[in-house]
Amino acid sequence: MGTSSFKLDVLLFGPAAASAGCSSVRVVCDVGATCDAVRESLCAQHAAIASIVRAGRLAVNGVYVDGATVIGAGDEVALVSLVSGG
Amino acid sequence: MSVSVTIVEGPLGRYEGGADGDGAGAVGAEVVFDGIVRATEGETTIEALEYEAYRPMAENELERLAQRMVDLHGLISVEVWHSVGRAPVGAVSFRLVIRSAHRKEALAAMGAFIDALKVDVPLWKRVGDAG
Repeated sequence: MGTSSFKLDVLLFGPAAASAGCSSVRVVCDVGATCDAVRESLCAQHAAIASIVRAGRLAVNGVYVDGATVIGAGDEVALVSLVSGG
Repeated sequence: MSVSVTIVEGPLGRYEGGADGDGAGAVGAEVVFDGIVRATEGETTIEALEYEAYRPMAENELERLAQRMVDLHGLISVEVWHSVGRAPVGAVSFRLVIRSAHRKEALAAMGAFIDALKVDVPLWKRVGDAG
């Protein structure tokens, strides 16, 4: 990992956490990575949850973001997918 | 116009509100929905559900949704409770109380809120362990 990339821990819940067997996964991202790029990295680096990643959305610092949002190393990123409240 | 959101560990208690209105005579309808844990999930007989929330995002999304319902339907108030953790069969795990001047807007908002909750709010349930 060079200086042009960083490690990001993505929080997992529900079926995503069950599939991954853990409550977060680490993903290596390029500096300046967008939300879409982080999703692609998640799929590539964590195949067990790829289908859930594709079906879900990312929340950054507790807010849903669009695919063009740039994610930084200090952001709290969560995968929100297959919600089932109520 | 008010909204309130409460996340509760374990099952919710009985609803102890009531149709006493708001003291100002504006409330003409109070609609209460209680979500109750069924004994089956699909084909499986269960003893409980386990709820998980991504907090505080779940609370923020519920508040945002409640406020949206107030704005869209002209409601007087929306109150939401949701369980996290274990809720046994027969327990109430979700409650929505909507008050408005007339029944039509409260009933419309009730369905819209629950539909949106099941898309936007980071809450999950799974079959719970025998307790």
